[in-house]
Amino acid sequence: MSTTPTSATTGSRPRASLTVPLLLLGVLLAAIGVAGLALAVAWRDELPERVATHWGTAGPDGFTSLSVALTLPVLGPVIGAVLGVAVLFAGREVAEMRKSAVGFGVGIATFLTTLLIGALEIQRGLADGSDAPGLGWVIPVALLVAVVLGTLAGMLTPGDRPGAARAVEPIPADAPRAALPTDAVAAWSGWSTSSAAVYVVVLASLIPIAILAIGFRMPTLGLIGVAVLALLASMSSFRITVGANGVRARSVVGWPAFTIPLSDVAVGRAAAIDPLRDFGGWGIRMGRGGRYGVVLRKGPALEVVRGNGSIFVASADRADEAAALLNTLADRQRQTRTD
Amino acid sequence: MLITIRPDSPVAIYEQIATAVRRKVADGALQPGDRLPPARDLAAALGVNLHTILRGYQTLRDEGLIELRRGRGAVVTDAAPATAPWRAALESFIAEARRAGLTAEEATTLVREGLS
Repeated sequence: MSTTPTSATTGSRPRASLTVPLLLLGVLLAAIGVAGLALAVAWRDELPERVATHWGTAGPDGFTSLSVALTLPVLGPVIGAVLGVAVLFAGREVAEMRKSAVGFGVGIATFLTTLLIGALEIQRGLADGSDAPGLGWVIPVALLVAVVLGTLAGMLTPGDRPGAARAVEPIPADAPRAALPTDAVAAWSGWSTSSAAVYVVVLASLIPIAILAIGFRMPTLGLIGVAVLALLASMSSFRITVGANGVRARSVVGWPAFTIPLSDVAVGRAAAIDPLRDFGGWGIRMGRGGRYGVVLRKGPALEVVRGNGSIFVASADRADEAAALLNTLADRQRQTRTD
Repeated sequence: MLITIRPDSPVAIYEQIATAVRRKVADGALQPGDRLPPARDLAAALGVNLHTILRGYQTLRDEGLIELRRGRGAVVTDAAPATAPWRAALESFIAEARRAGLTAEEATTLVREGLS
């Protein structure tokens, strides 16, 4: 990912600071690791020498020694740290990506650690790990706690400082513009929808989840799977709006949402994107060249270069119309700037 | 879809919104089943009051052009006329103008003078 500003931005802009997000990630992950280790050690005398750590359809089928099991609570935070740090650096110029990095890092760590602690808890007082009951409630609880803590961590992560992505240069003269009379005001609105294939894949994923839920006799897992898929499917449609308040991309359920005010627009343009080639997949993605956004189908997309060099992308038909209007409105906004 | 309004026009903004939507339905830019932008989004993008947009949508609903459904928002109805009367007249005019040997400039001038 490139962090060098494009020609439409100032060349001396400092990169976004990662100090607070890294600190937040570090502190929270350390706390999770310490809490996990403390609980495991506190239960050490009640746990069997052979601890179950993997469950199959017929019950526990994977075991480790107690001494190894006591060190496992560090795994979750380590994985969360690797994931979180990688995404933080990749998406440092995009507030939504920084928040996602911390949120998912903490979420993954919480899930794995809670899962492990739950697995140990149900083995307290047992003679051997093979006597362990099924995981049952442990998985939904781990998911719930992970979602709550991950969301909180994401919310705590600071967004952009005011003016961090502000575009200083005027919109390039050769950028497309709309023929908008000076006494007129205009807005553009369009849908960004996934191609049918994406919906098919999402729905088809229900099949392995159903198989797992039935095989492991865990109906709660099935319900969670369905809920997650329903959530993903409902997020697969976005409303894109260009107007006086800049560019807004909002999922039909309200979240996720991206907003770029006119003052942050360096230039808007229509581009042809290929989700697989340019972003490695579909959905809310980060791609090459500092690009990120709502990548739902192969085809036309609105590209918005922000003042800090990052490039927001949203699949949209008539992206040319949207880009032209955006540049015209951004022009007007520059003219009313007092600084 | 693109919506343009003139805040200083003597025509009320809500009526300009309604006219813009009627035009798009007549042109085929909006088809039955298409959703209009959520009123809140459109109001923020145009910089006008939410109730102005709502009034425009309600006018269209009273005409039967759109339906206001909770959750889905404003949806163009099947009952919306597929083409405006002027479109059929335009096609006739063009056919007749060709037959009479009018140039594009002559025909356009006639129309412009007629409408001004």
